[in-house]
Amino acid sequence: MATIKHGDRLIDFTLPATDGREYNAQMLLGEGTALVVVFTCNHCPYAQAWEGRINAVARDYAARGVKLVAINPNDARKYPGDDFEAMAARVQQNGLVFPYLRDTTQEVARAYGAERTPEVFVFDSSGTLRYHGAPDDNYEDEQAVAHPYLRQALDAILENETIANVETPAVGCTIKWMAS
Amino acid sequence: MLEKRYNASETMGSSIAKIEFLYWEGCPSHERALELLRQVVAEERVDIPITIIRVDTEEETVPLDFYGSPTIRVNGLDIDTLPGDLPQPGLACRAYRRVDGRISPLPPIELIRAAFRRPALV
Repeated sequence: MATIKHGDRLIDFTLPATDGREYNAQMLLGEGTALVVVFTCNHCPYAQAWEGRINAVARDYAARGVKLVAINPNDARKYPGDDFEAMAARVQQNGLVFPYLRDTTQEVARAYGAERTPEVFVFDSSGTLRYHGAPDDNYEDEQAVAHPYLRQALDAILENETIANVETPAVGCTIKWMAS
Repeated sequence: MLEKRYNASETMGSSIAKIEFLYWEGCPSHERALELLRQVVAEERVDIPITIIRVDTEEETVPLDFYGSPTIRVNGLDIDTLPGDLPQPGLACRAYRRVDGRISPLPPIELIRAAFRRPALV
């Protein structure tokens, strides 16, 4: 279960990305109007089904100062398709425009209480959590999406309006935790 | 070696002896996948009950040949080729490829129908 709820502050983190850089959440927030943190991975079919839409959000909202980062916390020993090299390849092959970060120790995922891939956390410019849950209401059919939760949350934040759905169930594969 | 021969004049529909649906609770698509399977069973007028198997532990996946949820087998044959990126059975969500090439956690209904219409073995 998520450890932060609507209205709580951003949990800071610094993680390496496939582009060779490290990204810090607070710094990203300081540079933008909102920060989207998506826990996701390579292998999960739900993550794959939503990947294009998340990529489109990153592209569509970049000009309005929205920063989006994806974090892969999966145990790559059990799921080699989720290792750093495979992540980098996926960014190239699929033209992903957002930083794809690796949470090797799974500390960030645990700090957030993330459970699924994908699982979205949206923070406004003050670092306050404004939305948590699924990217939208239909992993199966993009054309049949009735509630684009992530886009709606960003639109509301950017227009200084109230978000209709601040919390939805994250839908996806379970995060593949390392054996303790 | 047993040679498999197919009778082109018969389809699997007239000789279906077993339908299995295996799933893991950790993947949310199983209810919808079972709906699709039931829809095809009704369409094909197959009067065989679906054996529903819930897989709960990693240990169970090996004897069940469970490479992810959901798994559908008709007469013991998986409706799809096994996922290449899963080297061993395990508790995971299966990725199916839709007719438009996109990945989905749900088996396309066309794939399920094709499994029911496979030529019968003779």
